[in-house]
Amino acid sequence: MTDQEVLQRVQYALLEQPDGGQTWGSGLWTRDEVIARLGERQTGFLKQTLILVSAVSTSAVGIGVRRVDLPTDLVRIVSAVWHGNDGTQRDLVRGDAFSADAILPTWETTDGDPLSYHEGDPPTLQIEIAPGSTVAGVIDLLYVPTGTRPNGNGVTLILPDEFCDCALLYGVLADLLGKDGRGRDLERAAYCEQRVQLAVEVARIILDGWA
Amino acid sequence: MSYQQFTLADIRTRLRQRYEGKPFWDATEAKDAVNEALRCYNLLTGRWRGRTTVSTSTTPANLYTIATTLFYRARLTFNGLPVAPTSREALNGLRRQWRTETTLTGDDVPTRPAFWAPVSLRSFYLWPADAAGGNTLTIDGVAVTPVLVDDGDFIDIGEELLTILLDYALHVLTFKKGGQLFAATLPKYRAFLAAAAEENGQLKSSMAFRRIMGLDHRDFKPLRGVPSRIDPLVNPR
Repeated sequence: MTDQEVLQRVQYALLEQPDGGQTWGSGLWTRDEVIARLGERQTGFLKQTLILVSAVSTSAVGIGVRRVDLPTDLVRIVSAVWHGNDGTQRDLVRGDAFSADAILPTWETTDGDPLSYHEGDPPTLQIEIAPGSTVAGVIDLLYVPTGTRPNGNGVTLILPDEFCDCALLYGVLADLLGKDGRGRDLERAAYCEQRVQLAVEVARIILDGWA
Repeated sequence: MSYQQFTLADIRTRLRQRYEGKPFWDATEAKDAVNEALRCYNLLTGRWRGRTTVSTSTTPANLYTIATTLFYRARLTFNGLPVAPTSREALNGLRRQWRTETTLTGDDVPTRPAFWAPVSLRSFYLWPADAAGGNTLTIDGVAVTPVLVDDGDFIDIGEELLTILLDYALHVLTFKKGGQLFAATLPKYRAFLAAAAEENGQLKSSMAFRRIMGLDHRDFKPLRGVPSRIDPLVNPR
């Protein structure tokens, strides 16, 4: 499903002139605003449900290097696996500097087998492994990508059509109808938010093993 | 279930019959509402099933992605033999080096893939990796929902399900009206969910489903200030 198809559905639901999301004649919402809500809801849904992931290997990580750059389209890390050039392989546990200080106080000064990765301590779009490795290697990441951001020009959305209809559409409607102003309709906004929550739970049940 | 073929034109006619007076929707809206009903029902129940095959990689690999003809995977076989489902966490916990093990590893590693672990809707891990490659993984799952585009496009469903879907489509169409008219169609939405829960009982355990259906009875059991039968014994007057 494309962003224009979803935007047109939103236009029908809000009694706007249906034209693929190009014009919003009522003046209650702008085109850019609606497209921004669409992108936010798509990213938020992917982050909550983990229904789509990408696999990538980071660039080579040198001996003793602890901070590694992440892909720029990363929303959330699902797993990180260390692959050393000596054939070692280890699933890295998600942790932080506080736990690493408690378990291995010398993690910043003494290299060894990487045990954990930290997201909260290094700068944005970097992770830190603890401790640094005694051999070079790479980190295999499974992560949730943002996908191509909707721009109202026919971009194919990353979510499957079923979730576009049952979650994304209602998420955008919840945001627009919940906006403070003349277009506010809290009852319908609450109904739309309920629809999104049901779709989130269904996505989680599917990943846990449905049918 | 008795199946009939219903075309988009038939369905639009039946939808029109559900509203007395001039319909407040056009043909495109009706088509979108019907397709939304089909997609939501497939999402909640996995009604439309499909099958696809993938050849195992000649370079031993653990991670596989399935074709987009399937919405999500449910069951896996390797050359016709079943592969048991598990989770990535279970593999990490039980076998630290599972990603490097193949069917030729030896020791207690099986000589054919024994487990698969879902990662996302369309990708999964296979353990152990197939060292030989070129074998067939058959994946059964839920197919992408069939949607109706032209008047002659049809779907095979029973009459009882068509009724549920049409009521849901009418509910969707009244959304733009808001107010009392929309509120009056909420029972149709709940009937749609109830029918989905009959087909897929796992929905009944979902908290969001139970709240929408009014099955959340926590407020019926207040914990404080409730009179009980032992009050005369504790506080005799």
